[in-house]
Amino acid sequence: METLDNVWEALKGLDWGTDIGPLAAFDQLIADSHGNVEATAELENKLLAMLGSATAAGRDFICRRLVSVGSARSVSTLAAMLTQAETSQLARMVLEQLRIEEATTALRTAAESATGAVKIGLLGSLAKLKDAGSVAMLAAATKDADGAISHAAIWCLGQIGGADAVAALAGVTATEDATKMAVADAMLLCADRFLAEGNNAAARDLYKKHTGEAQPKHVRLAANKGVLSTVRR
Amino acid sequence: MSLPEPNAPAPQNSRRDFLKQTSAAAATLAIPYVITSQALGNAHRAPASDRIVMAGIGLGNMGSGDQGAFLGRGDVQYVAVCDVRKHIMNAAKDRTNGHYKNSDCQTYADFRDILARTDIDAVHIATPDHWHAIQVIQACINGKDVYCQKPETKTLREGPLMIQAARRYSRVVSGGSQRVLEDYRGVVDQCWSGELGPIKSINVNVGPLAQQCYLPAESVPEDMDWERWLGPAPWAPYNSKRCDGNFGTGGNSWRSYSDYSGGGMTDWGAHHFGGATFAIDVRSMQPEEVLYHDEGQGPHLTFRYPNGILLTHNCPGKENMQVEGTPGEKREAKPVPSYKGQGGIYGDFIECVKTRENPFRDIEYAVNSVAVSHLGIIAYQLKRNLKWDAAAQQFIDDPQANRFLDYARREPWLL
Repeated sequence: METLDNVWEALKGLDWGTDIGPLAAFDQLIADSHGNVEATAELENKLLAMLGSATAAGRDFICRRLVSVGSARSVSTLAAMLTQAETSQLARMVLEQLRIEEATTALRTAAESATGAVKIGLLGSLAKLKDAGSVAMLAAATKDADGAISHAAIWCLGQIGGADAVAALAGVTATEDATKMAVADAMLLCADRFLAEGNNAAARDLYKKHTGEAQPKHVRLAANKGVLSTVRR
Repeated sequence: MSLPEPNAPAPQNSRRDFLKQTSAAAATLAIPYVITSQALGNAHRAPASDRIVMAGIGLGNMGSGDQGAFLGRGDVQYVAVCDVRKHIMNAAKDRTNGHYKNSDCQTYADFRDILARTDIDAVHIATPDHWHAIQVIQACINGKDVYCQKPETKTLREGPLMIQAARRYSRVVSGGSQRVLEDYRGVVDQCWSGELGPIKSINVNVGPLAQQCYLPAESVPEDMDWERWLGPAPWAPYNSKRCDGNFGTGGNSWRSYSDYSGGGMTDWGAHHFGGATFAIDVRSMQPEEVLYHDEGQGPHLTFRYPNGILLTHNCPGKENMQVEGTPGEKREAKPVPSYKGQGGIYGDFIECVKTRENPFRDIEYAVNSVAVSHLGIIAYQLKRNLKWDAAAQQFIDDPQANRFLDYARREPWLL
């Protein structure tokens, strides 16, 4: 027990430059708690209680452990970190991995109000979770005045896929080569998804739209391969 | 250099097209004073129109070595470099210009500017591991072939995404471990010749695992873009040991730290597991089970492949690359795959860029071998056995282990 107390004490004082040797015991605690719901919950609650007063390095350490032991109990505390540049990634690191509706909702809510790079990170997390509920927000984000956000939204729509994502991508007015390439890539991803789901007609239509001379050679090649795949199947 | 595509018009005018057209015009019109001897080529140098136009991303340490290998090839025209440290970038530029005796090499702080150039056919990437997936995938999206240093992946989730991008755009993507073929040839030959009979197991000794880094803050050197060096990794203060590119894994290099590397487990693991999986011919598979052992001789692992072959890690009493076969039983001999072209793994890549074949360390083989390292790291971290569904890329009935398939990238980087 004394060892455990030392670990928590060391965590309180953790900062950049601190020897993390004493904290190694923490990972053994997590390993030992596997399958023990009460022990895991105790660890999670204690980590969450320390999060508010932790240093930047402490938050970093705590969030990495919450990846292991976090649950729906962590969502509200982490949600409060999502819109701040200093903490957003750490919170997403945990929330992305929980794979529960509460976490996805928290990410979506934060993305609606966030701006700049933080918004991009949140959209990226939702895309990784293939959150179809984010498509309308992403469609709007493709028209964001911040070019980095609109570009990211295009990428995210490709990751999520589906007819609504395709419709949103079709509405993008691309003038720069980089944007055209991003839209083409996102569309091809959507086509691949249609193909994997057995929707050959939708896949073929989408591939065919990218076989034209206006597309770069490698995009045409990818699109033509896609068309052939729909025939083979 | 792109896949031949009958009846397809050239998409855009590029420097390469220009060179081709100019060379052809020169040959037709016989105006040798327009075209230099460098452009026309000679016994050691391909004509400019036949050269692979290349650029480098990440030019420290291994990047510098890779650059030297590509610069030394007569069938490559090296045109641009990118690094977040100006002195490294400028040294790479000077090396290029010195080699060609001109001042043509362009420098870039942002790799996306290199990928946007339509005249560049291929890039070599030797950034720290946490950058590989994003850069390889973006290179494929932009139509580039890629030679990527090992370990090619930082997480399990990255691998399939890199393979998909390479396949979608028909890109040649080679991993960067020359040791897989060159260092363990005796073991490989024994296994592939059938001399050992059916293979039961092979052992790999490698380590250590990377650790988390809480080094103190130091002043960021003036010539370094620290935010870009960190890129998708969690924010942390600059410390020279955190980002040094030396090959150590004991705390004084980025290879020591888990935000940027898997430590020796992935760094040398890419070589050793790559060599072992090649020797026992399981390069196209991933293990289906990882057994964690800790019976007092130090933790060690057993990976079980779908065909029953075992790959052990740090098994007590066993040497690195020690193979156990089945003496007396017959195993059909198979020809050992090798590099194509001339010039080792670099020549293999360039030859494949020309022919559009898959290279020796094709990205799929690279991903599968580094997956062994990643699976092992997660088993060591959780200190228990794991079952792996390679098709689904998920641990079976283990939500906690599945939380370690990937991490959230720091904004604005997406994967």
